[in-house]
Amino acid sequence: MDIGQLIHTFFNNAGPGGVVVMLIFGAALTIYYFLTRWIIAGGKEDELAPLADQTTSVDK
Amino acid sequence: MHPKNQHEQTILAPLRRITGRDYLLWAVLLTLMLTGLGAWVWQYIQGLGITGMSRPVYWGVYITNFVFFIGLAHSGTFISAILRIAGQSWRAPLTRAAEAITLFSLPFGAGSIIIDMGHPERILNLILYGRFQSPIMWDVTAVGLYMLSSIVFFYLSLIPDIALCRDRLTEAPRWQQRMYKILALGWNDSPEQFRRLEKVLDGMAIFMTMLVVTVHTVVSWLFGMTVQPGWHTALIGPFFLLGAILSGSAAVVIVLAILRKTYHLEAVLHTGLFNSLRKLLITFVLGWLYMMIAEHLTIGYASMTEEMTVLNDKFSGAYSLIFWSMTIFVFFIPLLIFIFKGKNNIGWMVFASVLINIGMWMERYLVIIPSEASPRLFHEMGQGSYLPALPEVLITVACFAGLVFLYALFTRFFPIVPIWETAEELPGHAHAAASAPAPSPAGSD
Repeated sequence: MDIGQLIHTFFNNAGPGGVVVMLIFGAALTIYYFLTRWIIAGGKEDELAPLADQTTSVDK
Repeated sequence: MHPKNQHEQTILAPLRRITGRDYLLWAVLLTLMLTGLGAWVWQYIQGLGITGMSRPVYWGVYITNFVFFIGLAHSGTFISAILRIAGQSWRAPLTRAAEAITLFSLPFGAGSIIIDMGHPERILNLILYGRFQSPIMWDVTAVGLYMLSSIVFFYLSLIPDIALCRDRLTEAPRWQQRMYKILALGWNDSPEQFRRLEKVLDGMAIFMTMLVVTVHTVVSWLFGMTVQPGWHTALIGPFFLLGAILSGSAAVVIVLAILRKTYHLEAVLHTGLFNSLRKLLITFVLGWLYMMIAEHLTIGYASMTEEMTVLNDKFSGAYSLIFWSMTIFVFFIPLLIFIFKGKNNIGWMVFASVLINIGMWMERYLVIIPSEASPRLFHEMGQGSYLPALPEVLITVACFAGLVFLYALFTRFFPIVPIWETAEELPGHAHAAASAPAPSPAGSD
């Protein structure tokens, strides 16, 4: 595979640029979505933590 | 348990009551925006021929506005992200006010490009036929990503305060309470949520800092990658960036002073903040002067014919009045004010900051118009001239009105000072004691 030719094709043809822009925006949106979910999920973990402690002490 | 902040009631007060003056302001701004919309429809139907632009001046005030608004947008990232990384805790009360400038000026910056296209549907061509050979693709990528990231950065740091509004503003209309409930995403002020939020914001601050440098450099490359006189210089990137941070920081001073006066936030937005911004602005003004001298001395010393035509136009020709006014507005008067009058005096600080922003708009105009009026292919394209036509003036006024409208609207529905970031105590968290500054006395700097 000729990498140089591939790069040349990417920069000199109409179309691939638009695809790359969409991919970048799509990737950013996905990352931000999961980061937001992760932050909010922190609240649920705090709620669950005392329950987990309680379960352990009962088993003992 | 919500964060404990002694100023909570003061910060929430503007959200509890919308006055008749607010409605009046919104009505005036909406009228200006609608007038601009009308002008844009008129331009859409008639074509760009009704503007002052004609061969060889293809970029007029729309591109001036584009560069100016994108520059203004750098204030938020600078104050919030860069100072966050630098561990400057005094920035906490003003982060949201600065970030809101970013958020609300970016749409008008990006929108100016679309207005300049004449037909907005042409933006689709960038997606369908985009090629990375073109600097406009670099621009679309960088500005688009910056806009998206700014929205997320702004929203994430707003979530704890939205949750606080949800629980505190129980007397607000139902739709408003519903809005808070949806936007709060079920935030419950747990220590783990705060820990994760700070972690993400710290990480994003680094990414945003890289983006802010990239965005304005790429904006400058729209000019720098051409061989037009005055544009084709490696210095154009840092020059644009420094100008952007200067005008953005000056805009923060103006906004803070208005918020402080209108919403009686004197205890939160104390004079010490303005003194800290004053020191930053002195540095930026001097940096900007250094760039100006380096840029013009290099061009003038080489004395290349095409470059000298543009330089002479600025120094002593058709644009000399704007050029020297710009220099006085951005450099001489503000520097004298900041050094001799600005300390502990918000009125003088605002005056200097207004001058800086007027001057920086002129600077953007001067970067674009003289180079286009005297192009490198002068013999083929001829001497150009440019004066903004009525639609351009109306649309420009509408863009500024839109920025103020969005800002004014936001401050009536969301806390403009971050309550959790300035809190004395966060739930199960030692963060606040380290990062939230106590109101410092006026002369503390």
